[in-house]
Amino acid sequence: MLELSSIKLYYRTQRGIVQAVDDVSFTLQDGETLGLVGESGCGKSSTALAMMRLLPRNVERYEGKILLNGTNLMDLDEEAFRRQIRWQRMAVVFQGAMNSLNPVLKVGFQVAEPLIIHKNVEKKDALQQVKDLFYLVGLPPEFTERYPHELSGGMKQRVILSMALILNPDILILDEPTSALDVSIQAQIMNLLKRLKKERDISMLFITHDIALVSDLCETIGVMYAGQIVELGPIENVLLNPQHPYTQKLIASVPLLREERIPDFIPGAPPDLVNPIRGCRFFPRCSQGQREFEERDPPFLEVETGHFVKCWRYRDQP
Amino acid sequence: MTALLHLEDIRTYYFVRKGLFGSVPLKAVDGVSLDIDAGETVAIVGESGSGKTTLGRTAIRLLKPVSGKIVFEGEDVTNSDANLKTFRRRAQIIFQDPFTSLNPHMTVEEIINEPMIIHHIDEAEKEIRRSKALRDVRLLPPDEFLPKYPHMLSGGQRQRVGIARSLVLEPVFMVADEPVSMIDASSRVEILLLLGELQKKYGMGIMYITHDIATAKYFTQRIGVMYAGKIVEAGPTSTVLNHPLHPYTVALKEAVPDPDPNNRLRFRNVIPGEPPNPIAPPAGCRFHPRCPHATDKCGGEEPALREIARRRVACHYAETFLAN
Repeated sequence: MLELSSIKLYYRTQRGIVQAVDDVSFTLQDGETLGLVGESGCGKSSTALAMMRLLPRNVERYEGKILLNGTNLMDLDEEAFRRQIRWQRMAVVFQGAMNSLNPVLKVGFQVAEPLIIHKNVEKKDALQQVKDLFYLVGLPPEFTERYPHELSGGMKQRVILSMALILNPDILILDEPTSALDVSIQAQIMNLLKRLKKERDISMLFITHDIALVSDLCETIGVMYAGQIVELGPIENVLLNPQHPYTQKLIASVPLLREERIPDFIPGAPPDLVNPIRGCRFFPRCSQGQREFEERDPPFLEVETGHFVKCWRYRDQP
Repeated sequence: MTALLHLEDIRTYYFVRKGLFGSVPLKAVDGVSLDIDAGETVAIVGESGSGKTTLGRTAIRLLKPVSGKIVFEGEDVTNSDANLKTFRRRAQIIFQDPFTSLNPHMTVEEIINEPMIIHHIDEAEKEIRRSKALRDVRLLPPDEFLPKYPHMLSGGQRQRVGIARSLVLEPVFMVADEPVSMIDASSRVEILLLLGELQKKYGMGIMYITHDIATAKYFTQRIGVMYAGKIVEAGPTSTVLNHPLHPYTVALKEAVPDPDPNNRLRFRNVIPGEPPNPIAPPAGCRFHPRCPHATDKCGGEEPALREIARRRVACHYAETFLAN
């Protein structure tokens, strides 16, 4: 089980300190899939970086607790984290990673590399493991002999997925794994993730801007806005009975193909995360906001079992 | 009545180098016919490589077709360079990426002025049109936005600048090439509603190019579905999307998820494989290698685009699908 508590990740920029991730907490049970949704710049990818401890140089603040089966990963030094955690216990598929395959190496070797170099597995055995994995992700085994340019976007994404899975991690972070793909290929990859979830005991953090994709895969959803999680809970509760005004509007803004409902929109733009406003960060765009909410940070309240909302409107509820 | 824009058997090819001296044609658009009337929005949907962007660029003659005819307001503009400047003034385009389609060294004022400078619009008129366009796209108050640079604006605001830039020439036809695909979900609909409003106000014809059939459903009256350079199904948007006949349209529809937890972990009926190589598309129906209903006939004979049940479909078995 993974537990993040009060994770903060701030970056230093010329304009000032960017509060990319500000006090993010959630838990991920064994085998659970949590969907993290939000718009660009809401801090969802930075949350993935914070979990993998893949930090850029301009980090100003990196704090909080990441408990993996009771061990606080923040206490591990870089060497221990690299040897024990990153890619072994926790792996990530980054957005657009399919464009970062090495063009002059066969993809089979690129996937097998950590086995050969770090695990001292014989090259032949490692490649056999890659072939098994290729079968799982829906690639013909002989594709291990191909170069990246011989593969289409969807196939490259499957290779990247194999790379993340090769060391058999407990937790897989998927950062917009389908957003660069066409809808028909996206549907193929989503089917693959569903199968992976059923066949392997793996926890996933699925990061996306597309709330419809989350509902296709995840049991739990966290909605991020301006560096914070504003609503968190079981997918049925959050989608069918959203409580935070931002979640309500975000769901209403999805054009539905199979129902007649004119989509809505949220006027304005998300706040600047350099010196964000005090109090509720959604307040300037919120139609239900009241002046008294403006000054203080809203509490993260449990409105029903396992369903949390960061909004002042629920403060008086039992 | 003549259509505002009439495209007839348009073929736009790129030539890809092969070997030392040779080149082979990449048939990006391969025989597309389409009419767009004033006041209507026509969606062109398809996946990457389907030729939808090439079609859009050909429609306003940013690209020259190798064959076919582009007739705009009754004038043949396919090859005529004499009519081109007038045509370009009346037909405008909005690009996909509001981050790269605005010059970062120019202010909003300069960006919006540029087309008017090119088309020799005088100073006084420029100012009138500029502030009208900014009001139209709701960048208010206009004076506050004029001195800003693109990096000071949000994605949605940048796209509004892009729209304002195309409006100042008072176009009657607009190609909107994925205008909202790079904009945040919560602002997409706002931009699309705005486009719809401006269209009504000025009676423009709009070609809305997109990969997103859900937005096409809400914002267009007619739709053309493209696959590998050809239109495979076209007609009134509600007819085509509610009762698709071409297996590709059906598959495209099936691939779109809804935010509905009842679908969780449900496997979607997806079409296998990927779109074909446009340099060597499959013989017969170009969709046949991926089609769940394909027969030998599909691999041998190319289906014609024909009228069935209030739409055009290019499938040998459309009648069978209609009967079922």
